[in-house]
Amino acid sequence: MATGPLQRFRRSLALRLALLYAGVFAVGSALLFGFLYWTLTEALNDREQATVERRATELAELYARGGPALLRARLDREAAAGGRAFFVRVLRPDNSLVLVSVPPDWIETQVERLPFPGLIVTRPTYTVRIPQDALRDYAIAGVTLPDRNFLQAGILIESQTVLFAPLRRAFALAGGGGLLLSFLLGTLVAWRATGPLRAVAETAGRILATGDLAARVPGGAGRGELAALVRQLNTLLERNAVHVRGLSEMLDNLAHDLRTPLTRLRGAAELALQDGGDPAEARAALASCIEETDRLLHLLEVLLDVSAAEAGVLRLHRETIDLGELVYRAVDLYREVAEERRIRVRIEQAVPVPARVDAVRLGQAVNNLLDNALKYTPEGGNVVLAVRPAPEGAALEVRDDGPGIPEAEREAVFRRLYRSDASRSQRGLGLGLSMVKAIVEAHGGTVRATAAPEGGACLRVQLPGDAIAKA
Amino acid sequence: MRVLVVEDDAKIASFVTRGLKQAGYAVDHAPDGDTALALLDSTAYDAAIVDVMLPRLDGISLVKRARAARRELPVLFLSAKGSVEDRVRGLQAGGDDYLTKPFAFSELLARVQALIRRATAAPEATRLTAGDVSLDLVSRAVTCAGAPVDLQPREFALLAFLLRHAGRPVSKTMILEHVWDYSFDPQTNVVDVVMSRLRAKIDPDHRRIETVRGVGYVLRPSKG
Repeated sequence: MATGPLQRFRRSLALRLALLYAGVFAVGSALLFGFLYWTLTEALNDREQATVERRATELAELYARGGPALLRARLDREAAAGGRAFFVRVLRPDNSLVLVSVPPDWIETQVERLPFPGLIVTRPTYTVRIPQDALRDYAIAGVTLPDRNFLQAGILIESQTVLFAPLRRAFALAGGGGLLLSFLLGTLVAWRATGPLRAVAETAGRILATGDLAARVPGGAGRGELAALVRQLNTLLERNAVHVRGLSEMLDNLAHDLRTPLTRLRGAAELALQDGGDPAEARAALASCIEETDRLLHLLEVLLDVSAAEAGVLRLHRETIDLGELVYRAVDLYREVAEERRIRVRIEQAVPVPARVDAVRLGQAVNNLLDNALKYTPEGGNVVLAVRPAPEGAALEVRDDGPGIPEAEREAVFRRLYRSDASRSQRGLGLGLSMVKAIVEAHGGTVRATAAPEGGACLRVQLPGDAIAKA
Repeated sequence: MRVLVVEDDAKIASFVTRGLKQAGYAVDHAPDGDTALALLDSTAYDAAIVDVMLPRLDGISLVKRARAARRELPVLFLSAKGSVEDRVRGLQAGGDDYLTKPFAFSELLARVQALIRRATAAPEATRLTAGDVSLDLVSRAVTCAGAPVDLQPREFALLAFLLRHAGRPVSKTMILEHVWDYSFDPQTNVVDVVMSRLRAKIDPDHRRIETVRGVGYVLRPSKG
């Protein structure tokens, strides 16, 4: 399903965001303009209205003092003097005309349509004329006179439709332009801002499609949330890649390590199947098949543990325990083995060293270290297990006064299935120390082989501070 | 003695059933938890061998339900998971013993026999005897062919364990569990060492304690 850039853009979050912003902008500025327009027209209206009301009141006072004659005289005088022309008329309650003064620019129809509050115009009783100027409105005010006649005053004003036309035009131009500009800029900004999201989706898609574990999301240099997302995702991808590499290495090694015992097993089974063989020999071959199977299972279990620890996927069940307790248990387990070889085993511990560790796994590591020491210490020798708090955490040492480990082999002894020349004659899988290393490293610690002051080997386990319980 | 085998793998079920029948037990087989519950409701069993991973109703839930409804029934769990936590979970759920696949049939048999005996037998005698070997649990005196033998504590515990299972093979794992109280295999040769010391004291020519290849050891009840 290929999607072109245009199609992708049409579905993009950026476009939707830009449209949303443009919509909000349009509604906001329309509201603002509407409010301004309304306020402005109201203000103008009020002013015109006030003018005619003042005029109507003034003329009504005149009428009250001198009747229609005085009013007419005043209007004539004003007309002769020039100035702003007002429409004035006085009506009786029956709607008949007492007096009217129509400015020269009024038209008849306009007068007919004038509102007559409280009166009903049934027919026109006067005529007016007006020049060809339709773009005008009028403002009008009425006053009830003492003799119950009704006086009206009116002026022509600029039609607001016409007056505000340039304003509306300007708004349409500015608003439309602003809208377009804000939409374009918004799209650009949103498109740029959502770039990391597209990069993440693209990378994820590429990994899904090709299985390329080396793929990383580009960018992530900034300080924003999206840059943080990109960085976190890259870290996650990196960790996954490490785990997958570790697991596949582990599988390779397992396959390699299992090949030899499987070959032996197959050989023994073939022997049992041979025609004309001695039944007793066949039974013995079958028995060794079972023994090989057990060895294989045992090897598999140990290798799985070692490999899991090396790949960093070994799960630890931490509990708080005195490291001395683990050492004591190991010494107790190997009591007879040590006695058998007349090796003196001594525990060196001055203070309790509580630690948060997987007691079963770390116990296994201590067992292996002791097992190793007992194997390589000559009869009548000495083995010391020392536990003490260290500057950064805790240290556990297994020292002996045996032949020690040659400098050249001190790294190699921790490799899986490594058997030094000196140990070929010894029973074992060559996994003991690699298991120790794997378990200790799973705890975040280190293990090193050095020379012991007693003259033999010293295997030193250093556990980090966070494995040490706060007492 | 009637034993219920709850196991969904036909091959394993078949060899366990056949082996138990040869050993003289009446055996019923249930391929899943529901069938097993039905059988447990209608029949009285002396022991049950239950696979932890079963279709639909799993072994641990099955045993919990059976335990909730009924009297004591010795249960041995079978599982492919060998970790310590699984073992603890199985035992907490009401299992009396726990065996990891793959297992030796002889070990399964020995464990089932031990379960049934623990559930049915009268309180253990303070004196264990097999052939000319005799051990007093109270006075801790051991005699072999009439002569007193001086045993170290672990040698004593090992001999007592062998005497309790006289005539039946026991595995190194069982010995580690019962003599050393280790619930996982510490992968050492300590059993061999203590065994050879015990043999040196009561059985220098390997007539009484026999090594069964691929299985473990068996204490022969009589000489020869």
